[in-house]
Amino acid sequence: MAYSNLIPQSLGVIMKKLHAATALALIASSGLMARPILISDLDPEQLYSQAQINQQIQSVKYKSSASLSDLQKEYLAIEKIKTMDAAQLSHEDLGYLNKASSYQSKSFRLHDEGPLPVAIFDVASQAKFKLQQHFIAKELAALDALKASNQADYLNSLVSNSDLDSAAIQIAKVQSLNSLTQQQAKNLATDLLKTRSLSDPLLIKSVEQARDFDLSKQLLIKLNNHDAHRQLDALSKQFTVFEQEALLTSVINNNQYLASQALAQYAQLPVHVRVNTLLLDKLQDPTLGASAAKAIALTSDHQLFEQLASLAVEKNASRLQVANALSGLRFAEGDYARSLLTEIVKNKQIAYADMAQEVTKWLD
Amino acid sequence: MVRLIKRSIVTISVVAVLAMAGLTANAEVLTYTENTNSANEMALGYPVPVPVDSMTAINGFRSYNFLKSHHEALALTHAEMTSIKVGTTHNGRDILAYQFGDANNTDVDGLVEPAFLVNGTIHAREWQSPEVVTELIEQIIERKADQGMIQYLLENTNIVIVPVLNVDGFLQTQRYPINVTNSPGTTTASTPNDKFAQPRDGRMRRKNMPGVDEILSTEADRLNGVDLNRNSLHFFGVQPDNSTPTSLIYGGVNPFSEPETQALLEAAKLAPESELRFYQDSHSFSRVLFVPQPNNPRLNAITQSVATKYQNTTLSQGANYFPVIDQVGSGIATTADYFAYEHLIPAWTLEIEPPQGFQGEPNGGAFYGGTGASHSGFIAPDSAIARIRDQLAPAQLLMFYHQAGPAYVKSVQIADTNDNLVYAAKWQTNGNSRSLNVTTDQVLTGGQQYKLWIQFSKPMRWRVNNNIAQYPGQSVTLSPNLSFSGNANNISFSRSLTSNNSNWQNQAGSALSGFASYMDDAIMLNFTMPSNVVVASSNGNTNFNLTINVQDFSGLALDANPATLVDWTNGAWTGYENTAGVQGDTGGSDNSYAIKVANNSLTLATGGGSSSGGGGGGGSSSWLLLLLLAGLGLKRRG
Repeated sequence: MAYSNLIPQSLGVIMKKLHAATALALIASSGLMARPILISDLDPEQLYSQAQINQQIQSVKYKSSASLSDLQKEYLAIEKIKTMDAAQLSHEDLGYLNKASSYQSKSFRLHDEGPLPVAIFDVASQAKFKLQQHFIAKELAALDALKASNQADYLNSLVSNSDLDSAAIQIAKVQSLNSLTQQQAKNLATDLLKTRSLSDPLLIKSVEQARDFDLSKQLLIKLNNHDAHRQLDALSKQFTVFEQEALLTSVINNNQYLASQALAQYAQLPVHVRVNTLLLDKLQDPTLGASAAKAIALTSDHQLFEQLASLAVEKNASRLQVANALSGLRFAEGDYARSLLTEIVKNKQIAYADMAQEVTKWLD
Repeated sequence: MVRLIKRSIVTISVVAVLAMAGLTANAEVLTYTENTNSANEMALGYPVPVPVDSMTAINGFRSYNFLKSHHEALALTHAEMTSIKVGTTHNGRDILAYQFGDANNTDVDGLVEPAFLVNGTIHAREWQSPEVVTELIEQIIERKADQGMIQYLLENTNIVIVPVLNVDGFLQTQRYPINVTNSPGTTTASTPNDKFAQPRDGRMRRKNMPGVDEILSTEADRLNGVDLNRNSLHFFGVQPDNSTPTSLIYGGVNPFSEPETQALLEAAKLAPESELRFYQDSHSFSRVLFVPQPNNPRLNAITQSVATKYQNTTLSQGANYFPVIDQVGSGIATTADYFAYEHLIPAWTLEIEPPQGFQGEPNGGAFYGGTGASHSGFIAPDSAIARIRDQLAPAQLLMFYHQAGPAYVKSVQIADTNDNLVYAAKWQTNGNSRSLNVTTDQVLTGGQQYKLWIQFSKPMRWRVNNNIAQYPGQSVTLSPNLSFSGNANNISFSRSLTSNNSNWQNQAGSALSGFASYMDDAIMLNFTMPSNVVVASSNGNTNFNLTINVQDFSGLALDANPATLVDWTNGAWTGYENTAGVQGDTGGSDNSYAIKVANNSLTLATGGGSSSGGGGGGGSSSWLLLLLLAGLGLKRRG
């Protein structure tokens, strides 16, 4: 597996790139055929019960450093690393963290579900994270200084070639956007849209800061990574309900990846804003039909439920339409929708035997 | 979901007010963050996932409500999937199982179908589980008409999947996706490390919810609930903490005391239990399989073999799901223990990634570049789950295919160059046995060209872009191995037939023109009937026994004697013979087909000779060859 595949391209996890090279080397040397540490690999004294762990931690403050167990040393190391201020690390701190970054755990407990030792504390990962935060803090301070001294240079630096930026610089740039004005963010987003991938965290953040309908629409009708879901939720709320309706309609019609979530949000728009035909038309969509059914269920709109009931027994309706119409009534869960379903079953109006069986089970 | 979080904040506030009024004691509510550490916050190092209201698969975790609707919609739309309510949770919610197959419970031979059970989300906080199990459902449905592996499974097996067993608990974790309560025994004055060391409710709830309210901060009930993976019959109560109601691994008052574990038993009845051949309980995290080992050597050998195949397939997908084999006879009352010990089938606890303890790979959330904070492995980032789902589906499907059982030869046909049938034999299933029905049995001629078509009982090969390929991570001999053998002039002979990958049939057409029921369930090739077999007389015929040696794409060899039906009993295969006709678990070559060849088309002995034609020999001819070679060797040494 390419290690890069494991790196989420989110704001927070760009940090991972800091260690990608190290990790690549590690995986290359160990290979995917590596196995986990097994019980048989350990000295029995390295394995602690939960009661022993609790007892060791409770007694740590009464012990001199010379008499500490490995578990206690690891516990104290984690405590020490966590209390360090990433923005104010001393030379000594940095040395400590660098050394701790390659520490291999020596204290284990048993996995809850089977015979596998589990490291009790992950000192190395905590140290790496603290170092990452330190580098980000340094870059952020440099950006803040640049912004204070020369606003134009600062803005130019944001759009400079990101491929050359370290992960820490990229994260610092994104964090520094918090202080941009709406217009500055809009200008930046407009520039970035011309050159960057839509999943670029700096672009996403600048669009969020810009609070601009067109920019948001340009982003959301194409964005299809893990960040898209939070953005759809956050961005659409920046606008009036009519703008939300337009934005969500664009997403539903243009971005199949986000469309199911967008349909659910669309259904919760006020009734005077929502266009019901959009939901009903989507019932025949092979991918989104069931999502449209769910959306209709969420409207609690009895008129729409009646239209579902009609469609479910319509002779010319496709199998998919019938299924989605029935699903919509099922998902609604309220008494009215249930009564419509009951009527359909009682009158044996479902054209497909397997569907009739399923629906009957719902009503049991 | 943002709405849910807000609601929880409101609820927490209300409880806080009540606490200030001295009406109730409150647990401390802690928060997971992306980057902030504080007295009541713990940084994971990546955005903390919240459930998304999407029915379609996403790069993220779907809310239970939408996942359930998705499953129900699929079951309604596709006749191959049906929903069954198998129980009701403590809080009155339906527990649903889904069954996959055709309308009947019998395979194409009319025999009761083998069955497999996959369970999901027994532990509430393990969000990887419902997504991985749902991917399995989606792939079965999306590929239901593939004319290959999936269609075969749907028509010949019974797959039962429970996507979410611990519904109440799962909903509690989704209600508070970024919040937990402090570790037992800690106070607000404790260090954050201590408070987050054993988080128990909210996002980190593991157990079910009997008598537990849905308010996170309620101190009185937050440690309650039963660990549903300690509530099974075998090894019930063996761990000291199994009998402590507030323990993380409290096993309940009796085996199967909980409605959720009872529902799992109901789901097994859909198989029914007697037909089960595989069970997987899907958990996270650690990227291993925990494999129970009852005191049954044959079962253990088979289980370890299939676990290795599973691992190899995940390796081909970029992940290493390592089988951790239990000591024989040990267990902790997991559901995998139950199915392994009670039903004697390959069973395991799948622990989905992130990995834990692998050399060269960070543990838990650090695997994704996170801090590696305690319990972070239960919170995989949104960006990882689509890959995880995709990596695991092929291995799970391979288990179904393998445990469906070994293939047998269903039919053999030979035609001459004018497409006239000269030999036709078909195994016919009659109750608990099969008989070979030879309907055409003409005498063939040595040196003449013929076309051979052999049908197997399952799709035997995997294809990538229409080309024969190894199933991901597996390694089998792709070409069929065919030969004629027999005895002539009191000397045994063996002649290989030239065959290759292109003999597998992926075009419909049935006998002598394509595959029969599923792609690659048949081979077809042209061959020349060997004439270089020495016979004593030109009168009469000699029997050429066709020997067929093929593995399916999971590596299972043929049932060498189709007359006895293969089944699964007491932890091993029954009716599964090797080449010598001995029952076991390895299978072999089927040589049940005697083809008559006219002696006058073979080689007439001149004063009693040996059979030494091309394509290999056997019996006495081999001995003669050996003697000749030995002589040569002696000469050289001299």
